[in-house]
Formats: sequence, structure tokens, C-alpha cells
Amino acid sequence: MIVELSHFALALALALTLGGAGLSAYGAVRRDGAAMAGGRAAVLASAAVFVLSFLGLIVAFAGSDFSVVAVADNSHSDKPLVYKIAAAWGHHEGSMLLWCAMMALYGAVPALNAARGRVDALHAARVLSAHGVSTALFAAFLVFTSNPFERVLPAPADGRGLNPLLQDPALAAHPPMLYAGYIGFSIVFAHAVAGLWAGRIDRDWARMVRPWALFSWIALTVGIALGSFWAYYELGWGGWWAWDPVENASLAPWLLGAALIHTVLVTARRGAMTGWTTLLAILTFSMSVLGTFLVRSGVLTSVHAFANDPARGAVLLVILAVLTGGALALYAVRAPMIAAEADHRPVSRESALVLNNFAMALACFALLLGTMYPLFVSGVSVGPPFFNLVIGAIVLPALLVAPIGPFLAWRKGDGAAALRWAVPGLAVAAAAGLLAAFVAARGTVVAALALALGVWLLAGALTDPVRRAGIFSKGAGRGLKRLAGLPLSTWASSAAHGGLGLLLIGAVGAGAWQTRLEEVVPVGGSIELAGRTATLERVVQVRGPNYVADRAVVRYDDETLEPERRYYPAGRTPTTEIALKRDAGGQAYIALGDPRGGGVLISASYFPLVDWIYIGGGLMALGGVLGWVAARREAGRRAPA
Amino acid sequence: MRKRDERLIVLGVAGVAVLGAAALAVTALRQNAIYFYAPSELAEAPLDGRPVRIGGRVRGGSVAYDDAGGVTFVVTDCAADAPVAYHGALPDLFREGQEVVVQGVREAGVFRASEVLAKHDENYAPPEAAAALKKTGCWDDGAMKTAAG
Repeated sequence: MIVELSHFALALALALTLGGAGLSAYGAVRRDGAAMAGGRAAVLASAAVFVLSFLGLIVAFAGSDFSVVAVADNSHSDKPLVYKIAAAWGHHEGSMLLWCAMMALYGAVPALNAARGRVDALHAARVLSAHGVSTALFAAFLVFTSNPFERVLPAPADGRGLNPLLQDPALAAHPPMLYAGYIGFSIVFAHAVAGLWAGRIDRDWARMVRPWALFSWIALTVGIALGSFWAYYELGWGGWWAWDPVENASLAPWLLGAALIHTVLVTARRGAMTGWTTLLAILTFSMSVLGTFLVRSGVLTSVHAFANDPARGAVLLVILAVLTGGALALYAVRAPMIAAEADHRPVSRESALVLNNFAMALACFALLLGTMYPLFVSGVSVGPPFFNLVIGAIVLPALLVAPIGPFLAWRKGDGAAALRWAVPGLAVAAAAGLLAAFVAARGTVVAALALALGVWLLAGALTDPVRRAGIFSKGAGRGLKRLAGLPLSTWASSAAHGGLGLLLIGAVGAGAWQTRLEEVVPVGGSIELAGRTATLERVVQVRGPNYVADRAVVRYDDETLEPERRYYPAGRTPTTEIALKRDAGGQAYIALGDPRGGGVLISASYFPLVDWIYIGGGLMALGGVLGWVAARREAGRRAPA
Repeated sequence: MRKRDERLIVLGVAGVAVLGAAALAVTALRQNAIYFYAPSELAEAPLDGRPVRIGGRVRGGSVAYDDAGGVTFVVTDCAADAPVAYHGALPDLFREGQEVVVQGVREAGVFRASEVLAKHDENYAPPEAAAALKKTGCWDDGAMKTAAG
């Protein structure tokens, strides 16, 4: 019954979404307040109904209703409850429903804000029409090609979808977070369409959009970081970053989103770069949709791909073409109306941000080129060397300038003073690079350069608050007081840039300096890992909730590590649960393989500095949050339009 | 400097940068593209140590382990067999009779694998491996469920 109701709710939600888009558009064209209010009500109702429908799917999964195809295919009565629930979005149909429910929820926010008089009702109506059309396209895709509530008769006795690899806490958090990022950009997209529709892309518009862009980018950053961590501890998924097509699909909107949060700041503060900001606002969401297409169409070979269907991919491609094509056509017509004259000098904060944007956009393009090349030239794949080289070379100038940008004033910066402030950071970075290259003599020259670059970003991020507070010029006491009074946006950029530096340092450590061993070890035998001894004491059998496991007891430097190899009776394959041991220098990573010869296969690695990848990613997200708070305050101060 | 000149310089620099990036990308693509071969095409693969990918089905009964962590198996597309040697842990979803894509270097008589691609999902076959098997009529539709609903 709940399944039928939820299925009906899905159809109703699609109808309400269409109604909301139609009424909002009508209201916006005719300046009809009643129609706008009706549109808002329909949008709110559609969000509620979408959420109900999604809850219905969760109930079906939680209760293991195997008469539902999606449940029978993707769940199993043996699963712990939390993974039964997470399985609701661990497959194509359910994750598409989550996507639509989230998208409708995002749409509810501007509707509520307009209803409360916080934003201009006309602008909100335009936003809701554009967003409603986007949501309706995805909802139609869901209803007509990917119905999660399809029944199967007779119902199988049990599900066949116990994929032990997906029985992991990360499944609960990683996809929803990633979607919150992808879909958040749909609101940014809708604002761009609404601004173009009105022919008005200005400071007020940018102040309204900036919190949305930041919020989406934060969610995407956290979602990617979670996925990266998952791929790191799941043996065989290529580690924390492998330039896999599915990973790249999430990086494309992240790169353009990163460009967007910088350029929308220029527009909000200076009223400049309006055209480019609008273009990015459109294309970032296009990248989200393109990524969805790449992942779900099965056109690319990926470690992270799941069962999929090229016919559905074609529909997603049509949605991508309609949304992007429509918005870009509108952009082409309106571009002259929204153009703003640039008045900044070559040495200025704006110029630094232009360089940043240029590099991010080029990097995104190169990323897509490498990722999609196999689509156009069949029988070819493109691996990490391409991406490391090309994307590294493209972002290098932007990363060099990133710490200096905040030293420069808007419009006209003092280049000589900025360079003086850069000297200490550059010196430390050069020393770190030389140390890595000659003293430690580890890794390649490129690794040493990347390390120096990371240190430079970090040093610049530390320098900026010191410089602004005038700790040296105004005396320590007054300087510290001024430090506490610095605007949030300074801390935001420092945290994000410093986080990027830490991430780069961690990447060099975990990538270029890693140690990997794979040896057959008899019980009682030991291996040397990064200067320490790991001894295989014994292998014992243990029993989990729905699996049995071989557990190796490994003594590693006074600690006991217990990697497992699990066998799920309901699944057909074993899974490997690695054991991690963190120390000051990095992480030891030990996996238990199958029995071989007189012992068991042990895969042991040491990843120096790997924690800094995630600390850096977290710091970038924190920088985003600080910027988001600051941007919300600024948006609140906006003069009534 | 006048505004127009400034803009021309900026556009010029940007143009050169774009061209440079494009040239770099194209060169890097040529050098780093990894070509795929079905077992029956493997004779055409280079022997110069460049990495390539092969794919097909892991032949039943062909997986053999040695005592030092090495493993050998045969990837087949029914028309031809490619013996593969690998060192280390195989991905969890690696199974006899299942589709697989392997990256490595072709040597005389054996394919030395550096990477065996694992999957999230046992119902998913890598498209290249599936295409290779379909070409030789070796594809078994019943064994593989491509999509639900």
C-alpha cells in the first residue's frame, strides 16, 4: 500500500512541479501576484510530496519488501537495518528519487523566502520557473525511465542485492552529500536564468547568488572528500584519488564551482565580470548533469560504475542539452544587456581572480577532454599520467598567484608591497622543496615542486591575516586585537587556501613517498614496513552480523592491527576490510589477502602525510562555511531592490 | 597604456596560454592514451613496454597461485587466450568466469599486469570487456544482468 501511495506521490510531485513552474512563469510574465503565490505553493507542495515518496521508498527498503524490484535487486534480509535504509539510494532508481527530492527541497527555499518577503517575489518567480523546469525534467526522467516502485510478481523469497562492498557507513553519507552539492548548483543556475530573463545581473544579484554557490561548493567538497576516503580504505578502488572517470565527473563541477565562488565575489563587491559569472553559474550546473550522465550511462569504464543502461544515459544527455542549450541561448541574447565595464588595473585583486578563473576553466576543460576521450576514440583509456601532467601544468600559475591575490587591493593593488609580503612564504616554500629534493632525496623533482607549492599556499594563508592585522607595523598588542577583528571573509580565504596547501602536501606524501609491499607471510612471519616490523601472529575466524571472516592479528610496533577478509553467505564474493594505524608521520595500511602457499598474502603500505589530505579538504570546506556565513550577512544587508 | 592596448595584451596572453594548454593536452593524450586489445587482437599490441589494457572473461579453472604472491590466469574472448601474470592481491570481485579488464605490459608469451580493475557491483561488466566478448559471440546475456527495471 505504501509503495502504491509513494508511486502515486511521485506522479503527483511531477504534476505539482510542472504546475509550479508554469504558474511561476505565468506570474512572472504577467506580473500577476496571485499566480506567483500559486506557483510558490505548488513548489512547496511538490517538495513535500517528493519527500513523502522518498520516505515511502525507505520504508519499503527498511521492511525488505521484496515485491518491489528495486528492493529485491538491491537489498537483502540479512543486511543490518542501517544498510537496508542506505540501500534505498545505493542504486540508480532510488538515488534518482533522492536527487529529485533534494532538488525540490532546494526549490522550496526561494519559494519560502519570497513568501516571507525576504526576496523580491518577481525574481523568485523567475527563479522558480527555471528551477521548476529543471526539476520537472529530472522528475520525468525518474517517472518514465527509472521507476523505483515497480513491483515484481511473485515476490522473490529474498533479495539478491547484497553487495558487501556497499555495506559501509560511507554509503550513508557520501552520495547524499555529493548530491547536495551537484543539485545546489541548480539554484545557482536558476538564478542565472532569472537574472538573464530580467536583463539584470548586478551586485544585488551576485550577493543573492553567492551564498548558494558557496553552500553547494561546500557540500560538493565534503562529498568528494568522503568518497575519496572511502576509495582509500576500500582495497582495489585505486586509492584516495585515481583520476577514475567517476571521480573526474565530480571534479568538473567542483573546479567550475571553485571558479564561480571567486568570480561571484568580484561581481558582488565590484559589480564587474558579470557575463563570466553568469556563464559559470550556468555551466557549473551543466557539469553536474554531465557528471550524472557519465556515471549513469555506462559509457566509460570505471572502478566505481554500477549497473546501468545506455538508453537512460541518452535521456540524461537530452536533459543536459535542453538545460544548457536553453540557458546559453538566453545568455547570447541578453549578454549585451548585462555587460559591465571593467575598471581594474592589471595589478589588482580582480586580475588575480581572473587568472584563477582562467586556470580553473582550462583545467576543467582538460579534465573533460581526458575523461571523455574514450567516448570519441573507442578502445582507448586515459590514465593518471595525463591528468597529473596537464592539469598540474594548467593550475600551476593560479596556485602560484593564489596566496598573493588576497594581498592585493581591489581595483588597483600595490604589486611591490604584495611581493615583499610574499618573500617569507616563498623562502619557506623554497627551503621545503630543496629539503625534499636533496636532503630527504625522496620522490621526483615534480614531487618536490608540488610540495613547495603546497607550503607556499599554506605560508601565504598564514601571512594574510598577519599582514591585515598589522602585527609587525602596529605592535603586537594592537595587532592581536586587530587580528581578532578581521572580517570573516579573510579567515575564509585563508582557511580555504591553507587547506588546499595542506591537501597538496598530503598528496605528495601519500603519492610520491608511499611504500607498498605485497608478500606471502606465514603465521609467525614478519615484514618490514617503513622501518617498523609487522608480525603476523595468527589468523582467527570471527562471526559478524551477516558474515564470517578470517581475521589476521598483526602486531605492528606495539599495536595490534586486525585486517579481515569477510565472506557473506548471501553475497558471492569475499570483501577485504583493511586495518589502518595512524602515527605522527602518516598511516600504515594493512590488508589480508587469500591464503597462498605456506601463508597468507599480506598487502602492506605506508602512506606518509595522508591525513593532511583530509585535514586540508576539511579546512577548505571550513573556509567555504566561513565565506558562506559572511556572504549571507552581506546578502542580508542588501538594499531593497 | 591605453585601455584598448591593455585589453589586447590580456587577450593575447590568454590566447597563447589556451593554445599552449591545448598543445600540451593533445601531446599528453597521444603519449598517455592506453589502448585496449581483446585477447584475439593481442598480437597487434606493442612489445615495447608501453602499458595497454586487455579484457574478456577469466577462463574457468585458469587461476593459479604461487607461494610468493604471484598469480596467473587466462583472459579469453573464446577466439583466443591471453595468459596473464600478476603479483599481489586481486580485487574482491575478481572471479573465474567473470568479465575483467587488466592493465599492464605485453611481453613475449605473457601479459604482465600492473592493475586488475575491480567493480563495485557484481552485475556490472566493463563495457570494453563486454564488447570484446560480443564480437566473438562469446557473450552470455543470461549471466549478466545489465540494468534493473
